[in-house]
Amino acid sequence: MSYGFLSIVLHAHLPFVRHPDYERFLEEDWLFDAISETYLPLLRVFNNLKRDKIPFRLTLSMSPTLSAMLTDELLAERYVSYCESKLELARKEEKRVADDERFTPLVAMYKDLIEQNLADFEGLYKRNIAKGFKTLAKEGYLEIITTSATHCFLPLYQEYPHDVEMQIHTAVISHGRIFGENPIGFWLPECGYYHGLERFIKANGMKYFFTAAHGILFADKSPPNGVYSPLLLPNGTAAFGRDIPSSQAVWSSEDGYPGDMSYRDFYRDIGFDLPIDYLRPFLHGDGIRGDTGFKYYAITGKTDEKEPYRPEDALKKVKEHADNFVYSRIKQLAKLTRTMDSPPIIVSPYDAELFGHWWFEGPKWLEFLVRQVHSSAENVILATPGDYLSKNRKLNTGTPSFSSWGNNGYAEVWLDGANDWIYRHVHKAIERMSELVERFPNEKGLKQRILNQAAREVLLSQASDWPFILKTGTTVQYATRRIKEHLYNFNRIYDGLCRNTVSTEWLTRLEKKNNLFHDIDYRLFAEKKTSPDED
Amino acid sequence: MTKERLQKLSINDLLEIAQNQDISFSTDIDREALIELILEEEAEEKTDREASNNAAMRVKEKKFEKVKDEGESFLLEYELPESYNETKITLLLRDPLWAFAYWDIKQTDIEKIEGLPGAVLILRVYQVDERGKKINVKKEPFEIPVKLTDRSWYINLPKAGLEYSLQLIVRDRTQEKVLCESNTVESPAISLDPMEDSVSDEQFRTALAVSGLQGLDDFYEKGGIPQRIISLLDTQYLQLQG
Repeated sequence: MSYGFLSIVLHAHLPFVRHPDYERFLEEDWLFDAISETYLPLLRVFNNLKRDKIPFRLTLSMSPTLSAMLTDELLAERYVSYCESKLELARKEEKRVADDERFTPLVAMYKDLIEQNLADFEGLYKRNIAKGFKTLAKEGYLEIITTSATHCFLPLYQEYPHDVEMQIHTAVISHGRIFGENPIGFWLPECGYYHGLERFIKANGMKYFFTAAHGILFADKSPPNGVYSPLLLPNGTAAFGRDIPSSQAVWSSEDGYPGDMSYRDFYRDIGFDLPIDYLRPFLHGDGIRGDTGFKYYAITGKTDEKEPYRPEDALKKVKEHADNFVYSRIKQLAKLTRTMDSPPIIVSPYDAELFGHWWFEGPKWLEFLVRQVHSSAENVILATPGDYLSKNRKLNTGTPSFSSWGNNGYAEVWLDGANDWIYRHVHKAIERMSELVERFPNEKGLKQRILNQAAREVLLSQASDWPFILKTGTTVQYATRRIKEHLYNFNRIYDGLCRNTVSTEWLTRLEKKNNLFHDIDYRLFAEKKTSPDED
Repeated sequence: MTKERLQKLSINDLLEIAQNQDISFSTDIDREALIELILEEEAEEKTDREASNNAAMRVKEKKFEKVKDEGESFLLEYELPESYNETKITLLLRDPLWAFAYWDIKQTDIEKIEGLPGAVLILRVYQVDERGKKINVKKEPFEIPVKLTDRSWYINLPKAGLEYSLQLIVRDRTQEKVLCESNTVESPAISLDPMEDSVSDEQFRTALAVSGLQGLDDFYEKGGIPQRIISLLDTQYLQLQG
């Protein structure tokens, strides 16, 4: 007998980072690391399950900026060079640790992984791994959804509904072009919801979105089923709430599975341990130390004396943790079915990059989880939100509350003393963009190209990643530069259009650099655009 | 910054970094000791930062932790204007009890204000009723004095679940003038409604318990949820489970 459904949602996102003007660029490695450690390993997991005829249904949110980068030829070329450089380091490491049997199997493991990645990337996916996900969606394993065009934290833009429409519409168009069909669900960046956002989701043809748990619990009318069935909004869209216990079991570095002592340690990397001269050919710029991906130690405990990593020990734990996760969900579902009059659904959303990049064993855990669900006598069934909604079930009704999954549940990560300076400038750029649409409502040719590029720059300045980085203090200079650069590009176009002096050569260079959203239509920035359906 | 990066800097640069980070050191400190102090301070800051982040944010941070350094020094050639020469105020909601206001004042208005003897600038906070009519939040108007050079302010809202807007006012000895008015923000309610019937009530209690949120149950009984429960929701459900 089935107790209910488990909906695993992986949100894959990276900001648009592409610097053709440099031979190598440090922050482009964010993408290359994620391809190597997350996206290709996940594809292998999905294909293993498919090969073994294990049915599964998972939801994958692919951000438009990530999809654009995954289908970009220049970045693909650079990813191949990245892998070749890692292979060279692996060969060098083979020699260095040849006499140390603690590390020789680990170097071999990394070398195999890199070779496998390179073979899959070049041979299997022909340098476009988005196709790999698209195939799995077509075959019925994945429900691929989208998020706002540049992963903008939408509650801070609610005063600019035409901007929110632009963010969502551009995302849907871009998604359709890359994945062959329009998405039916929407990932709210950072689960940032505000009252009224649903009308843009509906107007762009989507049926559901996700919120933080308190977004549902503090709805205008408390929903009797809590987060265990979606909330049907007055306009017909559905909001799925994040389940806290299953999220925390995976997210938390202390209490969650990824903190287990036998798992690979994320921080200990030869990039910080070995002499700088040995590493120099593999480092960026003037030899700044950084992660190389070659990590030989297990978490071990709260000590600097780490034990060497033993993959076989980790694998046993992965199986144990996957079984424990499924067992805990079945227990939750069994309790819920006693009182609920419709089948409960547990929604467990995670950042995809958690799997493999930070939690090295994460993709394998996911594979074991699916296998365990498959063998759980149908007590729990994997389902996507689309699957759940397709059955016309009776749902709780109401409107969620303003919320996010950031610290303390609202906007304080993206609106803080460290990053609040950006909003006056980005909001101004939106106003000026709308002014340009009013002045140039129906341009063709060069002027249309100029205006479309202006629209791209405004969207790029809104990525939630930049205020996040400013708040958390990781690569602050880069984030600051990116916000200012996009605003500068926009303002240069704005001023240039006022004086009729936009340089074609500069524009072409900019189009080649920030080359995403091929189908963008600047006219959507029109402030007086007919409001989307408010049903 | 990494140790290698700091070692490349001059002693004056190191002293400047230490001063900017409020590090205490003796005046005869040597270069190596200063580098150690800066590294210690940075490690401490990082730990504090991470501790204040919830699990979701900590994981996200890992995506951008490519190096423990800021990398190349970029020339910040894209400076932004300090003012757009317009008189305008915008209100953004940070959470149910805090909002952020930013504003700009055009040069001619600044000159006029400077010419008024005894003029002061004030932010007046209004509660907005359902018909969009402004109501003073308290019997005494809720006002925050600001300086002519201020351009933003975080405002502690008196109560969640209401709508607010702002006016930026200049007041001199004889009169006051509204320079500009903000948009309205809608602070969310943070409470659980009592269920209409006993079946729904049992369902809801079960759902809360399965959520790992038994702690919420008490507040559900008493009505109203204190703000701190939101962070419990996100970070400490295990403790709530007992």
